[in-house]
Amino acid sequence: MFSEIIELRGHIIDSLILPKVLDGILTEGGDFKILDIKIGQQRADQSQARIEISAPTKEKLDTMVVGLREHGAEVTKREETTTAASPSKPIA
Amino acid sequence: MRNLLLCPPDHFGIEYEINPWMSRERGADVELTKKQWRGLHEKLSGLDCHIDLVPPQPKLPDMVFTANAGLTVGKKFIPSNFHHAERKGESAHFARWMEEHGYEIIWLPETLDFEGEGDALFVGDSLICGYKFRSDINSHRAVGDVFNCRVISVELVDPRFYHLDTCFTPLPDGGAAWFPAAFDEYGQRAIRDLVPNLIDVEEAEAAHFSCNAVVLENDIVLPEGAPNLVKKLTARGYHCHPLPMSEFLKAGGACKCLTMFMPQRENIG
Repeated sequence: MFSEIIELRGHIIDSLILPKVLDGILTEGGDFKILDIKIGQQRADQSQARIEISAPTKEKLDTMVVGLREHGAEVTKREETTTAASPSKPIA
Repeated sequence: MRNLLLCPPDHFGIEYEINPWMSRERGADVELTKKQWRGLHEKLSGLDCHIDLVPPQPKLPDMVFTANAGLTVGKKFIPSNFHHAERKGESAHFARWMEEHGYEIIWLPETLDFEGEGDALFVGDSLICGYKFRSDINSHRAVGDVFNCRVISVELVDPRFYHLDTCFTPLPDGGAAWFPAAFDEYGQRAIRDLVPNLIDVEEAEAAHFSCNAVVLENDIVLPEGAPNLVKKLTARGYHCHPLPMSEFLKAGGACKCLTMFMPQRENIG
């Protein structure tokens, strides 16, 4: 699986941007995991969510990311994960 | 009394094509354009508005659409960062005029497209902002930071209604007139959650830009061609003033596009 970590900020709850982004990921055949969410307490407060999104191919992930950027998602980290055990990173 | 900014149509014309309404093969009639603009100016003046005029500039035909100059709250003005290269030259002229008239100018980062009051309209203390065709959703966050207000971002999906003010008209009673199909389903839900007493505008009347209306307490100045909307607004107690706007419709604009409120809101909260 290929994955990215994206961040959404703004009035993403009242604008329904968060559910739109999550629905969009599933519609595109991807998956997501919400890593962190901070919801604004006052009317003017903005909210923030960090979400790991994943897709079976890099191409699919790239397509997904392009679509999500249109709704304000910013990529914070890209990772490639495999199901096979990977050796521990040597300590320098 | 409301203060409004207009720009005489001295240099207006269909000189490029940046929305589905524009066609260089279907130019605007110069004399009719001037007559229709004067009609709007006279109507608004007669409705107790104070109107300032920003000097029109050659080679900037769309400067006449002052709603896209920027967004004003109190004495703060955010100038637009236009999406299309054809309009980018307008920003400096509008910003200079506003600065000379005592407004604090707050620029957004150049990378963020934002087309001012065309895509940003208050409902109560919440600012509804349209995105996709002209404004970048990330600009909404920046605007919210400047004015410290809640911003509801709604996606526009019909290129004919490329700005929020072409398909959404907030009303003083807290409701709004709108053309729902101009928004994606999440935007429609967000608006329905926030705005009570919505008036749906039928497609044929929306296509006359009937939502592109200047709302002044009990008076609403809108393009002619929307008898059903006028009936509904009249039933709510508003006085409607339909005006001919055919020449500006050729550029994808009408009454509201030709008008910017100074300010749109005195304060928030």
